[in-house]
Amino acid sequence: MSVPRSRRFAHAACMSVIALLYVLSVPWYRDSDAPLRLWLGLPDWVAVALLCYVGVAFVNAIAWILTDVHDDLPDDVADGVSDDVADALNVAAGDAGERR
Amino acid sequence: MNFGVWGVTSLVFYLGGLLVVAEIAKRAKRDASPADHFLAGRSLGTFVLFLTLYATAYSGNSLLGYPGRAYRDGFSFIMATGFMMSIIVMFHVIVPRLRPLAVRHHFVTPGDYLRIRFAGRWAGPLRLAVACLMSLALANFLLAQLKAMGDVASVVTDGRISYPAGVIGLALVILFYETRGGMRAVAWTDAAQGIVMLVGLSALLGWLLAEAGGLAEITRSVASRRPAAVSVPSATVCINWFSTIALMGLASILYPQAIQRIFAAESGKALKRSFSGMTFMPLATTLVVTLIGVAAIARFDITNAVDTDEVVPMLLHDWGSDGGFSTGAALLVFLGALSAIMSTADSCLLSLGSLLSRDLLGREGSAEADTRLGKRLAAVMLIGTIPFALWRDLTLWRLIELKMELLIQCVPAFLIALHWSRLRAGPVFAGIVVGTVFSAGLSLAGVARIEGVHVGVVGCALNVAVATLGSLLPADRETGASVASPSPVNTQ
Repeated sequence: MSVPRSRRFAHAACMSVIALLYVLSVPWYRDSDAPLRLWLGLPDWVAVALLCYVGVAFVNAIAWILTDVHDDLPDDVADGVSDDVADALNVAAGDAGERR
Repeated sequence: MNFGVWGVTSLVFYLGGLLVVAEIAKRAKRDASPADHFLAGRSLGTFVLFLTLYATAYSGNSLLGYPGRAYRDGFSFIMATGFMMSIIVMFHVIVPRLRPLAVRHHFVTPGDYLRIRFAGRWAGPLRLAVACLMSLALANFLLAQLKAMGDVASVVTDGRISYPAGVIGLALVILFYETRGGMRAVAWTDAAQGIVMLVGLSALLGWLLAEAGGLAEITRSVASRRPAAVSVPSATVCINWFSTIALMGLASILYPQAIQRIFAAESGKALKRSFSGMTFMPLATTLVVTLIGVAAIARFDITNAVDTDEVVPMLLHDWGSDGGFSTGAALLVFLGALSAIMSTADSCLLSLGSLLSRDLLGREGSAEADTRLGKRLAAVMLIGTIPFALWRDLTLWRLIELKMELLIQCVPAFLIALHWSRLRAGPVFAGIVVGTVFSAGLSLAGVARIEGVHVGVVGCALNVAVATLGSLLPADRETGASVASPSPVNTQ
């Protein structure tokens, strides 16, 4: 059930684009004395922020499509690829059961 | 018949409908276990899950608090669209790892994850600390909804329902249908409420745009009335913008009721599809309420900050008083707003019940008695919160910030713990204490921000430093080396 490298890369790329859009959405690079200019009926810095957020929405939707949300622990834990993690989980689950 | 009378009539019909839904949901129950009452038997499909996530995320805060803040700050509150979207981005960090664990170990509350994840002598105090923080945040959230319900009911009905009567009466209705129907009633009513809210808000913005002659006209009117509301924000406001995105993005995914919806989904696929859709909802909701708040600058002159939370009810009253189609549309928005507020309040109440009984009192069983205890505790909390709601001195936005500053202190216990198996209970507990004392102490001293950064965000940074550096130190085996963050394969 391991995830193909290309998909992992695409997901990471989506997250990077989202981070970049967030940085651009905040008008820290604009002069606060700049005169009012309207774009799409809004002050231009508001329109830029809004377009960034529209971009975030689309890229994030793609990122969710690329994400696998399993209903059980992935096979490679059970298969022993991450034995230490799986063992620790089983110990924890056992301890929790005893405490109950 | 004037708008106030229509308001009372529609409210009575709406509340009657809610009670019928609660009764049907009660009959649909499979058993009396906590999993069935608090998580609807883990059966929520994509459609209902999406709408319940939507109706829960967009609450009285969004519908009254956000326009109020937009009215006070102007266009810089466009940041709200960004921070609401950041919540759905941040869910990538926890959902793929938490969901399989939740299914395997039958989690009901967030504390169930901590029980599995941490061992050793500090695991108990850590669970207790997280449960306390989450319960306080939920109580705060519930308080905000009660205040919002009172505001909407009193303004829209022209004072025929007074603010205290609105708070108390609507709280009792929520208590009734949540206790009868549990998560099923909450999810079903959320679904209906989500649709009404979406349609209603769009109609209200449409009316405002038509009245003003378009968005550009609104912007020009606001600019002439209050130039600061349209000007490029200062450096401090920009820093606060980044800080708010971090605060809301990190803290909102730790809402107990949001985490419980991860557990309540019928499948991982349903969750993934719901989040794909949810990412667009800030554009349809937060953006709309922000523009409504900004447009109100050109219509009203409100000087008292607390009164700005009434911007939407005041607009509805003006709109509804036009008669004819306007009255009908304004009533639809009124019911949409009220339903959004009530849906969030009922979700809070449901989560509070489970959190108090399981995580604080340690009743982890699956018996009917545990469900009953949860319901009773929730009722006590609701009744205990009502007097605070009648005391009106804080804006809804300040309540949101206070809640988030508490919740964000749980970041290491979930976000880092899910990804880093070396994280141990002792340092996480120490981090929570340091972060909470720092941010709560400064908040109580009247310091809300440091150079534009929320004190909760600074506290969280300290908290993370203590938790991670402490976990890197050699551990005494008897104190319980940490166990299990789940598989790293699914993070993408």
